Amino acid sequence: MSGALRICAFRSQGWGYATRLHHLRRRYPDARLVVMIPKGETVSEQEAAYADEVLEQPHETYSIRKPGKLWDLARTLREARLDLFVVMYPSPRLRLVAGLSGARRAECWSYQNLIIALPTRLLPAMAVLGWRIVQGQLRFWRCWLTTRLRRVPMPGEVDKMEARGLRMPRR
Amino acid sequence: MRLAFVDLQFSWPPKGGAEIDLFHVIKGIQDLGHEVKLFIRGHQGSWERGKIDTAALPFPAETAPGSESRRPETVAERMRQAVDSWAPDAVIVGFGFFLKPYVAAALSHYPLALRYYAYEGACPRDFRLFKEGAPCPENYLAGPGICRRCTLHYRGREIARARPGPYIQEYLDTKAYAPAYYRRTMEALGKARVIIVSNPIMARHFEGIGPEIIEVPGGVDLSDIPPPAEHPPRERVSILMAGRGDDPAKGLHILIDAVRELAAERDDFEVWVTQPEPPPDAPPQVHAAGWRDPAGLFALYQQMDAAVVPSIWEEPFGLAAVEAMAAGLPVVASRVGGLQRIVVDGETGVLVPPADSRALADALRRLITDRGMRRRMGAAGRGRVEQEYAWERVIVKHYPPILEKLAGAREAAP
Repeated sequence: MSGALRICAFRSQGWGYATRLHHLRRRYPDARLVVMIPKGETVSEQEAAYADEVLEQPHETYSIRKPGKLWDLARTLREARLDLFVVMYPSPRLRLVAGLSGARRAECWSYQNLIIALPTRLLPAMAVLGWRIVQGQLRFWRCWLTTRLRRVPMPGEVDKMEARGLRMPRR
Repeated sequence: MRLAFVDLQFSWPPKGGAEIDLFHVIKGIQDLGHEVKLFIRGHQGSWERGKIDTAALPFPAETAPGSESRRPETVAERMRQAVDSWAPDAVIVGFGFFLKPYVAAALSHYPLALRYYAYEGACPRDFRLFKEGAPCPENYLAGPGICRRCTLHYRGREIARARPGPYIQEYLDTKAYAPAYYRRTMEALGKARVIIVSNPIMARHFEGIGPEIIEVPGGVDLSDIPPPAEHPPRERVSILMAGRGDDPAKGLHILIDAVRELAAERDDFEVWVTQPEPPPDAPPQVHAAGWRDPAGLFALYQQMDAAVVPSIWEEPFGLAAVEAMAAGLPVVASRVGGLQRIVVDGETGVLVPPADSRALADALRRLITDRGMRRRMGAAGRGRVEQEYAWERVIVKHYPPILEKLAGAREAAP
């Protein structure tokens, strides 16, 4: 094995993976770039031009609710013996994946489009992810209650109700 | 006339058809002698929206400062401030999702035209009005109850996700699930002077709200498309389906059924799809042409004998059909949305009922068999595009009446 830095660029949903590979290649011109794609997907010509190695993820998606899949991914990543693990966004889920990768350090693109270091300690990553899941559930139930309980009275309906002296549904 | 264009999803280089459409419209109106300026919304954390290479645009454009906020009232206020500082005579609001009513309301002190590119007014779920393999008959503007529940049902998982995508994030930020959003939308639509749509189905959604509804098609830049190529008869007739075949609304599965039916009786044809690989269940007559950029696609048209657009959703416009016609190809298309306006049945191609593989096979059979018909329809198609869908024609034919209405509203204002 050569002594070049082994960098894994983890492809997840979203735009701009090839552009990110381009930036990565410019930032680390001598590194060995491992392009990691979801199971069943292919590498585009543009992406292949930057890749020294293509690695397929063991599954299509990952969630904290499916630890088996995460374990498979962690095993694949650790077998690849990475020096640097790069993800597309600083999302809590990708932070968790970075923590599982076994790489010495991790980086990502911030939402302001800057390359930043990504903390890889597992417990804080899991705590952030757990809090996000709770927030998501609260958001969903708020939408559910608003949609189910607060109707939009249609113009005809309003006229009929007013004619019968009934109160309008709460707006 | 000083005309401000406001777009909430614009980026350049373009990421979608709406930007290309708006680009040509602004440029065309500027060429007519009007003073134009584009105001776009900045996007926080997005690689593909809200970024413009101003040097590459032939008209002035600016990102409204502070408009990248996620708070809809702030976005509307910042857009208003940016537009007010330029003091236009009228405003045309281009592409936008849930923020559009907020921005339209903030700009309603100007004569206002709202441009709708797809079904973003009628379908909050995904602005496509296409559900479970078929066009959806509902309309949020006429009956929001069902559409609100549908959005919650189909997008609930994404709403609950740790970080929703930009579309659902905007849905949540604008509280588009709440009754107040519906009222805001109707008020904003009511204040507009003109609503610009692409096809009669879209026009029907806005009927009865108040503003005048005007159908304006998209267009093509004929200088990008080489003239039709003459080639000698070949062993196999090549038919192209351009577009995203992996999207069920585009009807590739219907085309595959039709090819299967044809393949049972003849082998003098081949079908090409713009995908990296042919679908796994496709018969051997179906080949993959790979993803193509516009130049590559136009080069591919040169090698084809006919084009097919088997969409089963109500295509808002149907650019694939217009481009194929511009390349001198006869087009077999579904009788849906904008396609039924573009393809003249029996003249520039054949229209078939959507999702009917037998009718599609019949139409393809006629074209494969009759070379003369292909040439006649191809030439008629090119002529129709030159007359109706070349950008210069679209601008000159459709936009001056809209600008007159906006100018009239300006003069009538107290």
